[in-house]
Amino acid sequence: MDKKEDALAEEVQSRLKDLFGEKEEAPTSMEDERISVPMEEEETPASGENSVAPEDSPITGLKTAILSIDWEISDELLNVLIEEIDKLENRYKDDKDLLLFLQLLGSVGKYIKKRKVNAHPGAIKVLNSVYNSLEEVLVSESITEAEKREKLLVQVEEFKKLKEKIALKKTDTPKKKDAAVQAERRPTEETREESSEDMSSMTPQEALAYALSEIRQVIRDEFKALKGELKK
Amino acid sequence: MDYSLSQDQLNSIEEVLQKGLMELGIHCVVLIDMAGNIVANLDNGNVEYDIYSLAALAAGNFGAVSAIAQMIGEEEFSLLFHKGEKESIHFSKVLADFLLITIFGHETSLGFLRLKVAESIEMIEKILES
Amino acid sequence: MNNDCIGRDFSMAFVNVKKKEVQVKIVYYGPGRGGKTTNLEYVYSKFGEQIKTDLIAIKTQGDRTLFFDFLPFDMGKILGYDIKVQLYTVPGQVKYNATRKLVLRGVDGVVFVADSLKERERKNLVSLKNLQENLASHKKNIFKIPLVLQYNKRDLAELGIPVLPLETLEKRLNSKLKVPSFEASALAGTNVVATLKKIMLLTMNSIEKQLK
Repeated sequence: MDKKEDALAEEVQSRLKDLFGEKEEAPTSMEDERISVPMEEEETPASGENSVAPEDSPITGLKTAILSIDWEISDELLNVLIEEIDKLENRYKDDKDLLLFLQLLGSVGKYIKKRKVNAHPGAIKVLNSVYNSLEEVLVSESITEAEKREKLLVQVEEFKKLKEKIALKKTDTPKKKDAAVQAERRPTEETREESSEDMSSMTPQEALAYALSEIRQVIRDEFKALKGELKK
Repeated sequence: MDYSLSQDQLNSIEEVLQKGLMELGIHCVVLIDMAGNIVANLDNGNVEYDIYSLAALAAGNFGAVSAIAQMIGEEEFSLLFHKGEKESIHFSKVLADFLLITIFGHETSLGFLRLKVAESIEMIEKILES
Repeated sequence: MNNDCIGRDFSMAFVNVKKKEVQVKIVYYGPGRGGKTTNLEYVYSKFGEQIKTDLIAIKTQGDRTLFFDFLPFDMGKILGYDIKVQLYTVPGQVKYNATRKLVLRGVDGVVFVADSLKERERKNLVSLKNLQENLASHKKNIFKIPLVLQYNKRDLAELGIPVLPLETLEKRLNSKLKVPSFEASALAGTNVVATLKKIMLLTMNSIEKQLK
């Protein structure tokens, strides 16, 4: 062995000595100190943890689509989602609130489809949140119109917050300066057209419906403020 | 399976992991080789996993599952994911010799994570092959 | 019994230049029920405090190694690098060959735990041949990789149980390999640490070139 090897060997020996020393007593029991790794693993998909809807419900197709997207985001699955939304929009075209729910869903769905990996992560949360709320509304037998409206407005709020986050995200990446950014920045009190490329364009009816809901919100807020004033 | 990575490559890999995955809000990301060695790892500062043992088990697990895939006539499985109550874990192959492990909570959607993982892997593969 | 080995090729341990860290993988190989897991259990039980990590054992209900046992520990700094050692055992039963192959991936040093029981003579040979084949599948050569032989269960002789004489074991298993060998009793701890020290020394020697 040459000197270099000696030096290494010495260092290794001394390290080994530090670790293992010269003790040679009998081993102590170590039954409790092993970690035994269980050999079972589940890969079952999250099968409707918030499952409320019965199996033959009109919303089943939509639910399936939403759950699939939880697992995988692809054009195929998003197309299925959008199809299901379209179907339900047709079915509930006379119910303004349900329609709005569905339009929110559709808007977010199309956004995710368009942006994919560059979509804001919050979009999925909003998608699930809107869906869950819609499911509650559809499945509940005793829900009042007011409660329905209440839930809807909560989701509209979430939708708005998401839009703001997306706008913020866009300002961080200056390369994408489309009209969407301008649209996002307009004040929220005005009734406006949702022409953002970002959220993919709504039809005039959609825009109107959306605007109407905004107006309702404003009126509610004003009413509340007025009530407060009157109480004084 | 012999390879060596330069400091630059390791730095670039860490950057990809940070920007593409950590900033998404996941809890921990580890890039290992199939022998169970850790190439790179990042976490959000709130976790204290024994990543060395985790890497050994992950490599073994992935190896075993790959062997099973072959046995049932599959080239490989497209999803290796374990869902926990609070923490979930996802594995994805990088080239032939590496494995990307991500640990995340329920605030992260798996579907979206998979998109991000795929994107990050593409970038990492370029770095590894350079 | 101790032979110095000569002329081994250097191994390719995992070196992380950025972290200045070396990960060294040592696998305990051998026939089923030969004492591989017992070796690790002994190391863990004695030095658990210094080692500061857990021994991970994936076992069957019958307490046989199913996948592998794993014990990592820090050896501290050597030549400016943080040396992280990983001890693995493999399942010895013949049917777990696929697993053994998996675990051998990236191995830097091997301890072959031979069973001294007379009735296990053939199993030792089969297992050693199996090691050679599995190493070859990873493009490693049993004649070149850092290797130590451990003749386990020597203490059984005292209980009147027939064990193979040392000369026989050496002739059967070590005549061509000519690697360091130890008589041991893993259960009692005899030469468990000596075996480990030897393989770590051999392995560190072999990766020395990488560290410089």
